[in-house]
Amino acid sequence: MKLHLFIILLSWCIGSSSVAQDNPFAISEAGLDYLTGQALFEKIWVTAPSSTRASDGLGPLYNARSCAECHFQAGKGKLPAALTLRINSDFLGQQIQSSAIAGLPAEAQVELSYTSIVETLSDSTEVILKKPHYVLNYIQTETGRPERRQTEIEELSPRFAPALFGMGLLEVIPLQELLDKEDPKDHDNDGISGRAGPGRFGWKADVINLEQQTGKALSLDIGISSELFPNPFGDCTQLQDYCLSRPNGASREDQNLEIGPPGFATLLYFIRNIPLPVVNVNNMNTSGKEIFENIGCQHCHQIGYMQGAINPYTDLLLHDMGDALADSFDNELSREWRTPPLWGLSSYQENDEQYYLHDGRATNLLEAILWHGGEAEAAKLAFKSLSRSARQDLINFLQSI
Amino acid sequence: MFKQICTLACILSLVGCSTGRQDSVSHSAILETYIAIAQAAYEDSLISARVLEDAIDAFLAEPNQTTLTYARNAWVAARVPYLQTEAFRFGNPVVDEWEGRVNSWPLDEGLIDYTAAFYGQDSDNNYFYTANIIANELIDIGGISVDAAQITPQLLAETLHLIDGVESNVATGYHAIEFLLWGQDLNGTNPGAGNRPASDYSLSDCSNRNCDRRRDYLKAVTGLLVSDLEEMVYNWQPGGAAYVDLMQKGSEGGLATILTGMGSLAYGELAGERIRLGLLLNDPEEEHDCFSDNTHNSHYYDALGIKNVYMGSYERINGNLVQGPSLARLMELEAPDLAAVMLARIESTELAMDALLVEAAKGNTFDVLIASNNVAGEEVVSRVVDSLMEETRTIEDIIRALNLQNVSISGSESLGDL
Repeated sequence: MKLHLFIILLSWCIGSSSVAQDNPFAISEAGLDYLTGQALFEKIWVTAPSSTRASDGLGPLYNARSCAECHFQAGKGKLPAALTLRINSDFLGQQIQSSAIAGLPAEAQVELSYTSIVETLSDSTEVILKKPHYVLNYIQTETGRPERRQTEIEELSPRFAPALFGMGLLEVIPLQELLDKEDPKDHDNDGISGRAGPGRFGWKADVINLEQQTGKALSLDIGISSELFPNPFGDCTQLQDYCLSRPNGASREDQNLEIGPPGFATLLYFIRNIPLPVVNVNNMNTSGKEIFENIGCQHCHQIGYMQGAINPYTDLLLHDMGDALADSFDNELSREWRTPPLWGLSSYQENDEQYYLHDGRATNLLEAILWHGGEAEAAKLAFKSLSRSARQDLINFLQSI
Repeated sequence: MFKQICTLACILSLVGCSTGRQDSVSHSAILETYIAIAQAAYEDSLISARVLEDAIDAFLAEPNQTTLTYARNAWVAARVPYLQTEAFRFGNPVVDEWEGRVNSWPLDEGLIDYTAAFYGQDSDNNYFYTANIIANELIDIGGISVDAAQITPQLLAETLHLIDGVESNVATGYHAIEFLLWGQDLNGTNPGAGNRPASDYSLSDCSNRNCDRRRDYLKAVTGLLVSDLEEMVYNWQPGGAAYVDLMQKGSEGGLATILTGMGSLAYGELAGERIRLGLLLNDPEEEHDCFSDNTHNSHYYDALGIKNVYMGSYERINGNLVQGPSLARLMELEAPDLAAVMLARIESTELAMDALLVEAAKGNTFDVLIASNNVAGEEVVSRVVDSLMEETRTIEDIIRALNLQNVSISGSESLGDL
């Protein structure tokens, strides 16, 4: 059973190819910079020491070997490969790394299972929602040997790899435009009390810019050190001496980093410039758009930044999303999530499998909406009481943006 | 410059002499030539991989410097036809999906065999022996325990494939064989290739431990390359997967595939990922054939492969010519000015690639040229990038001139504006 699950887990990854994301630049120096950054994005990092000075440094503990493995074609990932589990552990660190370089045991194998919840809409339509559960098998102990028993971790926060297109646009929205939308004490009494996190990136709005986000992901997910996150051992803690004793990929030529500043800057150039999927505005469902606004979705999924130049359908603020979506961290943020952008939803609609929300639990937009709670409870209730055709209009609208 | 003008003039005069307006070139005839070249080039790759396999058998039978040199020469020779097939990779998904098994890069060499822990420095006493397949009958890979008691093609292709998820292939293909024949190139950006001793394969006088298992690995991985190439030869025969795919695209779609393959290899793959990235990172081993210092040939034959499919002409390893109706001929008839520009672009790429070969002959292999303080080297390499970029622009012009639909050169947006 466990092996079976693991094979499924791996089979998600296989078959990823290096299909190029559409380059926003014509054939030019800028175009080549973008492509070079894309090559780094797709680069499969290898174990140190190797001859490939600029490509080694993987791990020692890791979740993925390349950026593209989870941000598939720079879009979203797939479950379960593109899901990481944040934890709060003196021994295992900030995140479970479910892979390790040759010779090292992984921190744990994650077993993902679901229980079903039935939601009934006002017209008696029943929708089955899947609530995820995480169990860790073969978890590392302080002896450096894995324990075979299953372990439930008390503090756990799952994070699903988001799509990266348009990130460069989110970055240039002036901070004041975001702060203007804050209403932490809900003075306008609309039940929505968005507040700015320390940053605008990450599911908890805790990362200030793409440079930080990229460095953090390289460090936590792949185990690659860069200027802002210079520890070559990634998320190995001081207690994991079996991990700290491994060779690393830092080299003098790269300023004792595993990816030096020029490589990092080029990778960032690619990430900042990944274009949004092309949308045909003529296909937009206008009555769906009206419903979107009437039932209150747009309070958080906002557009119109920089005089209407940037329309991501997010306020980039933190909102209480209710108990059903909460993580199990013991802090005031456990129910809070940063509104994700909705632009680019159209690009997933042909996919066999779709994943929405911070842990990818929703397999379609209907499920994603029904998981909303907390500050979004009123909007969700309004959605549930819509007629079948109005619901469909709203979903058609979302599928067209 | 004079030479280029002269060459262009010669080409133009040749075109003038040989072109009669009466004949035309059908799209399907061009596709037939393209397929014939694919068949011949993959067959040549297979033939030369079998020669390599024989040379490796001879080396293992009697491991010494002479037999090792023969095996290394056979590897270099095997790359010649293979690299010319890379023009078939993009646009033909059957090839692109298979490619990782035979030509994957970078190679996870530390997963295969011992490596020097302090690369590029005085490393004789600092070899890192512990966590690799050759040294371990039982090993954790990706956090999972793997039984590697017997090193077989199945272990490399199937078990490791599964274990490492995305790209198994870090342990197989031409570059794995290259690493096993040459060892690491410990010379950094200074001249010199890898220098693995023949005794790494000696049963009586084994150096660097585990010679029996290293022999098994070399044997298994070479056998795997041969069987992978057999599969690709079959794919291009009538009824094979690549052949059928191409036929289903129709003749317009077929032409689009040819041009996609040319442009994607020239721009994104060759100019971008394989050359400019190395220049940017100044990494000696961002070169493509890093252990053998054969990267100049790798780039040269890639560019030749692009020329082959455009000109409809391929010289086989036995000297025979595979030739037929071509895109070049079609362009002469349909848009003679553009045809002349394209010939000039191909010529200028060839000149830039020639310069790489000349530098390599002087000892300035690609890893030396991309060193951070090598200004002259950077100029030589930049010229290759620039000429490939120009060549791709012209390929886009050709796509426009032929009014082909649904073409996307991987890595380029400009055709979106058509």
